[in-house]
Amino acid sequence: MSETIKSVKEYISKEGAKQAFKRAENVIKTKPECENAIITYSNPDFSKVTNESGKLYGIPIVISDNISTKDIETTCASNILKGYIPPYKGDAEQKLEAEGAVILGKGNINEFLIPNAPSFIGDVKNPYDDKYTAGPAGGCAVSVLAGSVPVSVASDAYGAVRLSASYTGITGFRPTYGAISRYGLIYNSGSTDQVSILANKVSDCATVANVLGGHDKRDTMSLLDPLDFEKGVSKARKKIYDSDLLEGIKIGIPENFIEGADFEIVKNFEKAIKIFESLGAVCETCWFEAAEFSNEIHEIITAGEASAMLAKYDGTRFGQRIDSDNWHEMVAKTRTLFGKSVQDEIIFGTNLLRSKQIQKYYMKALKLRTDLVEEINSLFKTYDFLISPTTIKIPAVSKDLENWFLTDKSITSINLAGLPAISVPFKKYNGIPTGIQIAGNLKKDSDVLKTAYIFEKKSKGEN
Amino acid sequence: MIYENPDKVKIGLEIHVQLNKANTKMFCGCTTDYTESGPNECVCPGCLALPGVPPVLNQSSIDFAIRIGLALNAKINKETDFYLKNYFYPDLGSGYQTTQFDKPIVYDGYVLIDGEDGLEHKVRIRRAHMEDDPAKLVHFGTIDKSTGSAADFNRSGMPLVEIVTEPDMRSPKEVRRFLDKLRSILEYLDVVDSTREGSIKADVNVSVQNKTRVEVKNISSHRAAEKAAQFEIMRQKDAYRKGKEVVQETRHFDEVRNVTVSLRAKETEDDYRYFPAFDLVSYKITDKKIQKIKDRLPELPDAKRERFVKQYDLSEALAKSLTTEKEFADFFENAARKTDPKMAASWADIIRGELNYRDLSVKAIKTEELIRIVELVSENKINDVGGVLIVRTLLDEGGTADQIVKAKNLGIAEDDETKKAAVEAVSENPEAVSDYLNGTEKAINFIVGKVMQKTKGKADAKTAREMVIEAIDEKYNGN
Repeated sequence: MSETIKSVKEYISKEGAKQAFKRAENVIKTKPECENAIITYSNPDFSKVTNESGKLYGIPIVISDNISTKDIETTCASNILKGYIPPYKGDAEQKLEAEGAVILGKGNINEFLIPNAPSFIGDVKNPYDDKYTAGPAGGCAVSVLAGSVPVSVASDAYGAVRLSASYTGITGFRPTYGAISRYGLIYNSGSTDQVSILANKVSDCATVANVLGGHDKRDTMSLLDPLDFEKGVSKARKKIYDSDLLEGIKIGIPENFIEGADFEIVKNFEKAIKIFESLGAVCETCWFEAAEFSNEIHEIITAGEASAMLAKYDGTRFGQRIDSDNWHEMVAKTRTLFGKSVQDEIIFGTNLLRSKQIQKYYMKALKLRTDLVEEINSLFKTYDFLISPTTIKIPAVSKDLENWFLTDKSITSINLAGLPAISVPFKKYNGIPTGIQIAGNLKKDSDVLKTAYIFEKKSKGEN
Repeated sequence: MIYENPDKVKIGLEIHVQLNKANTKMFCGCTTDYTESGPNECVCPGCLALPGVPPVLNQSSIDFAIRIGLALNAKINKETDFYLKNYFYPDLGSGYQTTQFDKPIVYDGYVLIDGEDGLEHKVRIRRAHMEDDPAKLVHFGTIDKSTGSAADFNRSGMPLVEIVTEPDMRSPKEVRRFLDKLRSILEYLDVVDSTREGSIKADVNVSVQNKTRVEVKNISSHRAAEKAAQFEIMRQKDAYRKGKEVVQETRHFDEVRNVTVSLRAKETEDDYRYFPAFDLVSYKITDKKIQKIKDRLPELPDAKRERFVKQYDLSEALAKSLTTEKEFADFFENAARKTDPKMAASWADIIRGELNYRDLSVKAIKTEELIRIVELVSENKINDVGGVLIVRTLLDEGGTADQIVKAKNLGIAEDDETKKAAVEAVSENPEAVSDYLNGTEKAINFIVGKVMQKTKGKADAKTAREMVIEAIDEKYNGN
């Protein structure tokens, strides 16, 4: 099933891992659209890449810069972490290496992935129109698009993976919360962030998800039972899927996910619905009441969590430091090394948690989040999947990124509920690719991937 | 008689207990026993708060907290959760402490102590919650004139239970008794090794005359807690007597000068921005689990004391003295099973005094030696003085009871020897003899003392007395 990886593997077996790596590095270093794509290149020891029977033997992979890699500088695209070289391996790095993959380097992202915080080395431009950004995980997406690596591993905080995939015309898969360990993931928002995958093809996402998935006792939120992303589809659906059809599958289209979308985007999406229907699926619109506030709930919760998680960057133990006479002043000065948008996010979150107003905003948001999860659960009693455009907006203008806001209910409600969702490329808008999001119920990752795969196949040539 | 508490003294405590008997720290796999390790040797990316390490709650710290709750006669919250407490400090790697907020794992309990009036006095436990310890700061120089500081993260992530009492203690003495009792309970539970530095710390809250409450923070010994309370009561009473007000503030106890000094006036309450820990799930505790832990609770000091009184026919006071430390109670009871329990109890108590005097633990002496001393005394091979000498020598120089009896020649004087000494003493002290014969009974004691001197304390006092009387009869009455 795993298409690109298979073809990359074929030439690796001829050239060897080292040659494949050099080729991948060469692509990134020479193609103009890959400018700023990698923050730090790794310096792999090929004598240790010996597992020729590994599922990913010799495959070069980009890991986003907010995932810990031992001995490879990890900055979260922030000046404050410049020079920080983790002394430990994150779970993603461990598992990829165990299957023979080779880390090419650390993909550029928004600073701490915050939606309007540009990377300290500069934004990655959209290859289709360099006025716009390639997305919050732009470096990871562009390395795949340029053909340097078949797969990137990044994290989907604030929808970074799905948005970047949508903007660059590749596939971005976010698994169920907890299906992939977060050990080594440097998250600001622990309750919404999830290690995710960017790839050319749906099948590659499934293959790599199977490598990364499974229980990890180092992460409390890790699911106890591993999901099978490639072959774990619901038994009742297996026969239908095997015929590459979606006969009788019920698909819900939350109307409020599409509210405010440009006419062109709606028109494209209607074409996508036609494809689903031509495959035998039953599509109908629905209303997702709780999603009406999903952007606000998401904003409050992620900012509150970020204000605590970003507190450890105080210049005391790692990263950059601006010295001063006393400790508190040193901390205050050092923390000006955060970009402006990150500082704003911290201040916003800090304010939300003040004892005088925590009930009014943060605790209320938690309560509304529970309602949202309940409502989405009941939607999945009626529907197998929810589909929508991944985003109804064009990407941020690169030089104006600081003024951009995340306002996609399709992104925020899924992140709040921790559901599996995939963005599959489908058509363009103003010359920039757009994606279709397919979201499924908890742990129905394999069904989501299989449905995306069938859609991908059927919509071939329509991009 | 009811204790009047004339100054309306109210003292409440917050006691931080390190669960250093848990195998691992609260959220990572590092050891809690770093006493033999150098600074920052028992650390990992987790307790160093390096980026990217999620917390994983160590199950045993939850179990320990439940044990403490049950031993404090408290209720256990069926659903408990964690909150983050945010503040910046160099010892706090992550910038927040993981603690509990409105659902502490333990609430509503009590501990019984001996009150000022000699009656049983109840100190209510408001709550006990779990949290993690920050790193330890080491200052070069003194706290106010420091040339620099270093952080040791060995302690970072140590599981703590903070026990909060109601302000039910009415005197410094009750504070001391409460803390002694609490430590005793905690040691019985085997959750803390209180000999390790900083393992039990207390904040003492004091008010008099139902007025301002003042907090004295970070007191590391029971004696210091007592002294701090003493000083605060005096200071506050004095202020009111002079018509002054007492400021609500946090103070520090200076252990050298035995005074409390102002740290900072709390003009505004710090806002720690407590919020639910999103990385930890709320924790359900089933009745079954509680029952299971209850079934495995060891016999606690009060129960053991009552049993000792009944089973070995000991006085309350003696039983209490023997049961303060679990290890010591075991030391006694192992001997009581093999020899006369009442004698074992009184000799154990003597040993306890000698251990305390030397600041030694009960590990310094074997149960076999206690048994042997009891045997030697009851077989009349040594007297009490000899027994005490054996204990002291054992502790100071080592060896066995038998070796010491031999080496120090402690065996009870043979009758001939005592007889000889008695005859000598009688002829050497005619005045005492005539006093005795003239009806001053006590004069005999003087002569017996002389016999003991002559036999270097080895004579049995009772035998010596009999022989002195015999010698007087022979000499003066001719029979």
